[in-house]
Amino acid sequence: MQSLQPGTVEELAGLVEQAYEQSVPMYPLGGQTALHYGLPAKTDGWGISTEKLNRVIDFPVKDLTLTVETGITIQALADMLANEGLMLPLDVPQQSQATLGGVIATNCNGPRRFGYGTVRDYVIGIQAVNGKGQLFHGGGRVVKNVAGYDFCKLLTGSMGTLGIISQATVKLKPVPEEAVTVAVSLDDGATVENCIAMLMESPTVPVAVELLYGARWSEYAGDPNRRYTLAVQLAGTESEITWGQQRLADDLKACGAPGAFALSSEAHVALWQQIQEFPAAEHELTIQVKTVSSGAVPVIEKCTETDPQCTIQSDIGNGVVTVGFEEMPETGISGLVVSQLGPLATVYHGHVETLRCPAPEDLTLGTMWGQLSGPQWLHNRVKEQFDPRGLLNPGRFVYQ
Amino acid sequence: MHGSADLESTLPVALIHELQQIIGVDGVLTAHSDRMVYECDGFTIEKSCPDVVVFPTTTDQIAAVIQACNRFETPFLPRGAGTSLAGGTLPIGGGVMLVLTRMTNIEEINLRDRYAVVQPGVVNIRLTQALAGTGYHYAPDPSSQGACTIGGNVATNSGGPHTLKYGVTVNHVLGVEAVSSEGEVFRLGGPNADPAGLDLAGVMVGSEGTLAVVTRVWVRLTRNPEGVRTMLGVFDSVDDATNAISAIIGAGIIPAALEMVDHDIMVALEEAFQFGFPLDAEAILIIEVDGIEAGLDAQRDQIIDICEEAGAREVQQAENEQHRQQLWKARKQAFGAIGRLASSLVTQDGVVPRTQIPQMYQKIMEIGEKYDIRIVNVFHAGDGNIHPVMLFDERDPSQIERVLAAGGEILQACLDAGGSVTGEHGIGVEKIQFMKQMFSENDLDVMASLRSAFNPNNRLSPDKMLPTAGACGVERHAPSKMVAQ
Amino acid sequence: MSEYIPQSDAMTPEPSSHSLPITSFNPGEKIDYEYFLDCVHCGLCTQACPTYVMTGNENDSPRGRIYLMRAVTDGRVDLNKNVRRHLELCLDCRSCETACPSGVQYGRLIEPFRLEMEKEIDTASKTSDWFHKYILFGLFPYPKRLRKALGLARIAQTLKLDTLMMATGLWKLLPSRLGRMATLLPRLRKADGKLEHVMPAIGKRRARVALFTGCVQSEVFAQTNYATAHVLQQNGCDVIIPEGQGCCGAIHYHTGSEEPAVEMAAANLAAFARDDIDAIIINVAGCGSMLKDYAHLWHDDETAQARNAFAAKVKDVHEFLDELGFIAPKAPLDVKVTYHDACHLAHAQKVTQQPRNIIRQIPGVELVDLPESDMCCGAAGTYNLTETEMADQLSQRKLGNIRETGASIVLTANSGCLMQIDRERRVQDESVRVMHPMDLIYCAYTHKSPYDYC
Repeated sequence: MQSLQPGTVEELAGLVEQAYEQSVPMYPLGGQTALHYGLPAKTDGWGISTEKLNRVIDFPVKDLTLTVETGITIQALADMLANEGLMLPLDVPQQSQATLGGVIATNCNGPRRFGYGTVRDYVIGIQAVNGKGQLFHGGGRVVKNVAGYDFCKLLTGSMGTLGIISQATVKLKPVPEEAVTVAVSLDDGATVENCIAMLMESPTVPVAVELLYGARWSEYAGDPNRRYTLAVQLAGTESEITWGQQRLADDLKACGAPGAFALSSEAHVALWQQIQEFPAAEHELTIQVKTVSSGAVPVIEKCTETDPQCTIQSDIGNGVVTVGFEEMPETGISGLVVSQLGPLATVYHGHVETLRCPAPEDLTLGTMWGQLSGPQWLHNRVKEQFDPRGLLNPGRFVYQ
Repeated sequence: MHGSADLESTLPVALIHELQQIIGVDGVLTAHSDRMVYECDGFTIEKSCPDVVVFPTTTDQIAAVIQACNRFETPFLPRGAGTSLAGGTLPIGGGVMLVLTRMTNIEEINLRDRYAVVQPGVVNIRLTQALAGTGYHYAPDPSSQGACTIGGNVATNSGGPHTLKYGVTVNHVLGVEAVSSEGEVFRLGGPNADPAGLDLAGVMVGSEGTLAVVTRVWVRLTRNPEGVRTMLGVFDSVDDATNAISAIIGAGIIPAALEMVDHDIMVALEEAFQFGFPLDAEAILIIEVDGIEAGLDAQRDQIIDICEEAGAREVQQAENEQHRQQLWKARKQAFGAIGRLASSLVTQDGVVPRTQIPQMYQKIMEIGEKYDIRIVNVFHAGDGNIHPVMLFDERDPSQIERVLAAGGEILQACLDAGGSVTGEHGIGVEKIQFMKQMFSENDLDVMASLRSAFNPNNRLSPDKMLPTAGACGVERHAPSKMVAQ
Repeated sequence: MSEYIPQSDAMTPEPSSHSLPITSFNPGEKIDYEYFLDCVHCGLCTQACPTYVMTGNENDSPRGRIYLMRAVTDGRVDLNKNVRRHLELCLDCRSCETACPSGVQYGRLIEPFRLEMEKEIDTASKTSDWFHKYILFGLFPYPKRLRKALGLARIAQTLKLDTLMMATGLWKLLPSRLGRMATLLPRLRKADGKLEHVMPAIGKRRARVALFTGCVQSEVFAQTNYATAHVLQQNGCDVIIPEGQGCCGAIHYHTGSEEPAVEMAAANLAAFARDDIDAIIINVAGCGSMLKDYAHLWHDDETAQARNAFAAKVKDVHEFLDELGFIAPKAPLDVKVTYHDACHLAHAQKVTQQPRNIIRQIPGVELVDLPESDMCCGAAGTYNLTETEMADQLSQRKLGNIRETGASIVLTANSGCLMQIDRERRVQDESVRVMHPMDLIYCAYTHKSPYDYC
């Protein structure tokens, strides 16, 4: 596949227009860390990379906003923000390669979404080139703005199928003074559910609530004989954290989970690093179930029942469960996803996605993306308007 | 209710009879005198009367009405409480208006998973009232929250003072059920925040009723903060106050709310609410921080220091919850209270990068001087959302001209500063001509194509929001007294 | 499809003026137009309006009614039967005035407008209307006539005929408004004592007040007047009951009969024209707001001074006691109560916290919040006799809210609300008691159980 690297947005628009005229399929490329995400490409075409589109357009530090071209890597962006005591609190795997454009297109979120929200809450302005080569923008550079349709929402998670995102304006947050992890080991699903229900309402307002299962996490478990580790991240000022830690320990105990402890600062950093990278880690099969929060425990129990050797990382406050299997379950992907987890996810208003599998060519719309949460006809119509020739990432997303 | 009395409508009788069959005679208004109150919303400069008004109570009724409208090639649009401020509910070219104020059920409250399901006619405050005692609330709190509907909030992506920290409506909408412009019922998203497929529910929010008619909304519920500190910063000059705003945000503090009220508005508020505002001051800031009790005093002290450094005469604290509620009541009803200052007023809703508030304030006052128009100001300062209010006498045509010119210049100044012409009121018909200044031809073309995907025949709320060909046959004559939040 | 004729121009005036001739009658022409201009059309009042909450129709909201009245005044629409209907459906509860940030004086629009509307209806037809002639105007304002009529009712109640009538639905066979009145009548209770012309303070004297005893109140709620006097005495007040006082005139004024209202006001001005009193105390919200309104309802200069002096002295009993410093009873009651804001106390007089302050001071009384406490119960003067459908909907909603609180007693300080809510709870066979706060406080002072009391 030919890979093209436009140096300016005008060049990008020109390339896309050219591809449109010649009806050449296009595959937008960022840091290429999520190429396995989505149905595999079946037709040849141009890879269009945003690698050279990485300029900082506007960084009014005191407005807590940043406008950049989307080829910038998350690491470069984070370093620049850290110098000013700011952050974009999205937990992205492989940060040194992953780009902002890719993060927006794949709607990549991590554990701190519990306290800080998701990509759609941060993107306030966006520029992209649609399938006809039209350069367009939506939103703006100010934090409050209701002029015109919200292209920021439309393009977040659109998998590069409506336009190649070339520039974005994001809101920023100040880095909290301190962060700490309170962890506790748990044995049964009922106690986990008690603790999560408590944490949802906790006045300590955690920024992340994770439930972990599997040997991979053993070094962070207080008691390795117990099945689960619950890790709660608090962030804020010293006095808030001191109070919060104590309060959490007390509340967890009252929920039947005694023995909560704070991780050392080294362990804290290492744990969240591992959690962040987990969805991108190599497994034979990685699936992600996204339900409402109360659906997480049933999903987790179902998975551990299917394969006690699996590894689980769950943003449990948000009902996101990522499961890595070292061996393909006997039922195969469709048995697991369609027959077992799919119906369970549906009960809890969710769906199942396949993040990584040994034979992507066998994936179907159903096993890759799960049940669509909107009508197929409307998805198709939107696609037709933005990419009438169906050239952007053809066959990879949900359209039929 | 009494619509069958006389069919003073230009619509085909067969359509009206069909509507009466769908909704029942009691839910169809045909008499002109009954429809007339629906000719405008909170924006009264332009008026257009619907040909018939219906009050559906179910999604199926809405679908049936829309299907009938399509068969008769008649335009239609939804309306909630009609508190919108940019004419978003104006039925251009008449047609059928679906008033959703009889769909007022809160269908489900799920605290464990932090969501509620409401019908579009539920009044914003009623949801928070229904949550009293649970420890949760519905965060978007537009100033009109006591009257506006959640369906309307979805249409306009409403803000509110506390959206500075908590986010606007779109950050709190998880999903919608809607009826398409062709009469098909569909659902986007739901209780779960991670949709499979495109975030089309996110696109529906703020689309001003031009994409589909929302019939049910899944909203996020927000945990009440453990503690709150509310302060009133008193300043002897507006410049000092605006500099303080800039300094607070610049210091990386994001308060729950940060509002500015200038002297003249304070006088009107005092008359309306007898709060005890310092009437000799030039500006006040209402600053609220909330969160973990253990950290609040430190945040409060930091803010007090910043205000004092910026020249605040004093920083008062709300003594108790009642005092705090009174203060917010006064702030939220500021625009209504301005009605006491002049016979007519018009408000702008521009946004600038928030640290540019001091320069923008100067610019507004210069423009006021240039056109000899008295301008008073109330800002959602933390967001950079400005609401300059121009006072005038509508009986004087030259004043009207000057007000329109001054308003245009202020919005242009917002755009020049990298901002927006509307932070929360929407485009509607009021600001349709500014769309070309804010967006390129390509941008507008792509927006029109998005609308075509949802609303291909353009029968749903035509000629709104986008300045496309044939848009807005309505001439603007004069601003009359109007309000904003 | 060809039937559909699109409008050529949205701004073209609608054809109403062609289909119906504009009459010369314009009830808005005497209204100061500035009152209309005060409305900035923000719509913040709409949810405060009980009729709008029930119908969802903007025509039944304050903003809509102002729009209609202004359109009639401007000649944009005719005062047709639809417009009339929307204006008649207004409860005049003034809840919208409390909600309005712009200070629109809605009462000063709707009241004179409706007054003119009523006047325009052939006066002959009104005098021939038995309900207005014999009941509203012939019976209510005259305590003695009322007493005789109530004597019959009391006999019926002793024989439990009223319960029978309610249970069997027999009341529905009576002429509708008479039937409605019959069911509105609460259980009549003889007063524990007689009101004397002067009732001396108990303990140290702190004030000297005159009590306004009203018309319906003095007969249907004789005990409440007695209780009020007693509570005032317990609070160190000499209580004077001036002779020659009578009906406040509110019913007449609000139903379009201005002249008798003026006469009644004159009688009251004369009866209370004395220098030896600190305040004129009223325990009925509706009468209280009318008495306070004496100051500005009429514009003749001759009586202005007397009217102003009178109005300045009028105090709702809760307002007065709270200001004076309430001396709470010592003996505790053991009850959970809730409080319903009478419209004419909360919205017309802005008295909301004082009754609550006082109730909270009664030992052993737990006061719980009533959802939508300041939403009209549907009584609204004589509204519950004329607009029964809407009144029923509102009282059902009110009772539902009361039920939710789990209180065993609901307190409210207006005779109309007392009757309306009590009727509803009897219709629905609910055990909750309905009382005036003064009755509850009286029970505490006199060691009576409130459950035996009412």
